[in-house]
Amino acid sequence: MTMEIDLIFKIAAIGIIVSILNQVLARSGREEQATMTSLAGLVVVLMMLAQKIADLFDLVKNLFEF
Amino acid sequence: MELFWKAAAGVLMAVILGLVLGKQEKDISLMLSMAVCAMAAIIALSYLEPVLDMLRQMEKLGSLGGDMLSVLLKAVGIGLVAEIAGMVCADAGNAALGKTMQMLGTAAVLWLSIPIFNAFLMLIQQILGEI
Repeated sequence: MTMEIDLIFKIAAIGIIVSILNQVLARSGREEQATMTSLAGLVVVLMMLAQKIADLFDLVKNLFEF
Repeated sequence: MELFWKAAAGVLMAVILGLVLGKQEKDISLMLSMAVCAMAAIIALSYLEPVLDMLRQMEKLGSLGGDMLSVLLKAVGIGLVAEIAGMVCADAGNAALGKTMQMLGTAAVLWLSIPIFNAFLMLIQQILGEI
């Protein structure tokens, strides 16, 4: 059991990159692509998050004898 | 103990990153806080593992029924998960969902404790019958 610090940095980095891409695309008039980029970033982070939450639920189930 | 300091540092760092990120991408900032919550909870539960072993040992010493401790542990697990989920919902600005989540946890714990209440009632009936 370790604290995966790199996961925090990964999510933060994805957020910063998506926000920069979003602004660049929005300024150059490509609103649809900006929305799509934002959505893609969201899905990527959601996949990472779902794995972590599944781990937590499994641990709670094992530990508290469900 | 080293893990605790690591976790504390990670949580503090995530708060700052979440603040920076929250100005532009609120949804990803929320997901960051959810991921860190999950990681911190996993570490907290890993610390709780020996405590639960000790509880089981005490149960054996006191020769309690196996159901009692298991219901208690399940209630703790449900309470923890419901509380964390409710707080995350409240953080996301959806207090209604958070309250509903906490209510769900309360209902689940009450449903779990029905056998204990029944055993308690039977005990009272026995005592009254003997008098």
